[in-house]
Amino acid sequence: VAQILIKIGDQDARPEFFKDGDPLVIVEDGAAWGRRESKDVWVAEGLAGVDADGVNRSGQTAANWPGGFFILRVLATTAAQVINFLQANADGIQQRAYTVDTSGINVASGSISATRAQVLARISLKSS
Amino acid sequence: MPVAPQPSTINAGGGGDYTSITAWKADIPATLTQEQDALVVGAVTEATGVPFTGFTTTSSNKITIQGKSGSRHTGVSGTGARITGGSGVLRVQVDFFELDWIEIAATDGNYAVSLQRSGGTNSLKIQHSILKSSASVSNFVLAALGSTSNYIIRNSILYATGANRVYDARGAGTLESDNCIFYTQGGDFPFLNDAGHVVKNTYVGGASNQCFWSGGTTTGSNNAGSDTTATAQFSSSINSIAGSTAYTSVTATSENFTTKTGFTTFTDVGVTIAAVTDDIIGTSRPQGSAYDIGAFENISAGGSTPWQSFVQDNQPLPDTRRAVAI
Repeated sequence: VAQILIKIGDQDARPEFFKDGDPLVIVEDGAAWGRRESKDVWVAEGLAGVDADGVNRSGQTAANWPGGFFILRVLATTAAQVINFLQANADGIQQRAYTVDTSGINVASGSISATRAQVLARISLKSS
Repeated sequence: MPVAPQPSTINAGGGGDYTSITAWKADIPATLTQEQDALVVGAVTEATGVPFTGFTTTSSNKITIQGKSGSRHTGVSGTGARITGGSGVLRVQVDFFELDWIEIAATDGNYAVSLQRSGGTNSLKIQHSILKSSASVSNFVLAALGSTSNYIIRNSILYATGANRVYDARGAGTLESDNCIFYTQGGDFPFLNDAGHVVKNTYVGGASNQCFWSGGTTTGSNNAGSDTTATAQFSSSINSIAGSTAYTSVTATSENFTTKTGFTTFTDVGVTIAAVTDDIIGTSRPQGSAYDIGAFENISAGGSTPWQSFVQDNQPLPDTRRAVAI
């Protein structure tokens, strides 16, 4: 299973900034996420209370998840396969050449799993 | 849009706010309304590098990336917080930006860091850091670009693991290099300066041709090199000190620029720089009668042999300084 961290919401209108649907990070299943990237981590830390640095995380709940990102898990696919796909048709910062259509996806859930075919149906090269 | 917490922790192993600089950058507003400070823990990989372009910064609302306390390097590559990658690991084009207490390593021969102001009043600093790359001649380990720019490099070690150039500052406006080490494995022109630049207490070595090269009149003093260009350009300087004489190891890919045991030529022969109060690992300067040349300030044991500083954040004291039960 490959995990793709996707930006939710436009950072800025100018082209040098990230846009809604931009794939940012691609890692294998099981790779760790930060509390601002993963709703699951955010909530789990909140339930656990104090973190390793002694910071009280008990205020972190599903209701106040910042929601800047969304994790798309691509079933039966490796991270290397996703990266190779994204590099096949683009130069430079490859993943920023593509966008993932997040319409109709419950991004507030923080993550979903999808088949490769389902993901391919939603991923496309940005128009230049 | 969510805004990154200030400061944010970046830990690829989890337990932080983000696992990559890229994700952290995605939460920085285009116009900063406060400083955005990333505290890096351990090793972070950015395979295609990270561009910082378009952000509006000010002297108080700047972008800073540094090693988190407890995860800072010991002055040797691979020992602390670091960002490795390719395609130019950090490609900075903003006005106010700082790197501190961190290692940036390019794994593909491209830039470790490129600095270029975005167009206004600016200040871009690299302090207490290690930058390395195999660095092709056209790319350098560090490139500082653009006129009317204001770049400061202090207490840092920059080196190429191959026979290539290290630091290109040609055309840069105001540039200051204090207490640094620049080293190449036989490449030519490792440190390219220009008119208006100031260089002090800095060692440049390993070059096949012209350790110090300038396209104009540089100022500064108390520098050293492995060839004869230090005294040709700067007063109170030292020539013909090979890197293998001064440092623990200059062997390619196992470099260690801590001071070689028994080497004292660079001890207490630097000039005082008011803005520089410590060394690459936080030891206060000076330790003796004057600043040392290079990134490390040696702690004199009272004899002729300097001790390398072991005063390192969250590091155990060496055996020689542990309390002994009587």
